Amino acid sequence: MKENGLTPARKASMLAVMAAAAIATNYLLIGVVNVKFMDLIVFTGGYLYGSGFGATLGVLIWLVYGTLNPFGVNLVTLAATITGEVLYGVAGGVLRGGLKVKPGWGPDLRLGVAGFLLTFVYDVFTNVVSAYVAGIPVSVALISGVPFALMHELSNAVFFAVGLPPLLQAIGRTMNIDE
Amino acid sequence: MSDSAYKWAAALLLCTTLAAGAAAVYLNNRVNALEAEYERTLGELEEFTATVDVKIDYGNGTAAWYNDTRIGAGESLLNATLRVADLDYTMYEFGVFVNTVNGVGGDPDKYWLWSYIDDGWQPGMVGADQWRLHDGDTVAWTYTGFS
Repeated sequence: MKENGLTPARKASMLAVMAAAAIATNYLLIGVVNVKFMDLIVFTGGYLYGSGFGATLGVLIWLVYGTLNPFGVNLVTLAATITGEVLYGVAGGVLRGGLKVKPGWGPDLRLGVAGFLLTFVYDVFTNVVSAYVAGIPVSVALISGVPFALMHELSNAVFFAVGLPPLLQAIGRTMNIDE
Repeated sequence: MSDSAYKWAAALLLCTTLAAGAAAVYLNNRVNALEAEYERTLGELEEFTATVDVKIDYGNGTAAWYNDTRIGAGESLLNATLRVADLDYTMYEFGVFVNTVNGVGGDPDKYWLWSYIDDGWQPGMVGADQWRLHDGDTVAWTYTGFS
């Protein structure tokens, strides 16, 4: 039985491949604070295979990266980052109908806007939770986190606008070839 | 322009507003924090330093005042003077003898003598390296002869 053009087995394989790609690039970019391809990959997963797929991808990635990283583990913060990451996956699925992105090399400014706004929500949410965990005032956490948040939002805006169309094309071609 | 284009343009403007607003709040907060840090540091500095007024009278009708010169607590007159002028001096057993101040000196009939205010100008009786200054002191170097 096929679902969204994929059999459940191939969908599970795609989930594993995308999770691996996100986790690998996270470790690769571990020294570059708040600049990661993970959000783009999760959003792409949701866009291609639905919100459930994107959400599952976000959860899987953070279960690995959130527990095996040099910064340590805090369960509340981990729950917050998982929830935030799920947002990208769900948004990818929800926005698919409205955006109708053209796969290819041309950047899409709308994706940049979507990436920026989604990341803004993610940053505000995770910073508020982190403030409660660390026991510092929320306003202090939000203000002191502005440079990191902006770096996150602007890099994601660029990655989404420039990276999603070719990523959709590459995945589409690969899956068509295989089918 | 279609409705969709207007919506995305509005969303783009929202992004720039959010980014600019966040940056403005952050920068304003940094400025306030740095100003408060500066005031605290200045307050701490004032507890460990003193300010003195130093006069240098070249004996030719020219005199220069170096008011509110900040010095370390318990600093000597010699060191305080070195903060405001170039000195050539010689160390003797009784203390320092200043030969020139800012290049002025060398007249065999004139000397650089120092004095301080304590109910009027009082002559310094020890070498400048042995006189400790305190907050608010006023001292003077005068190029003069014994007449």
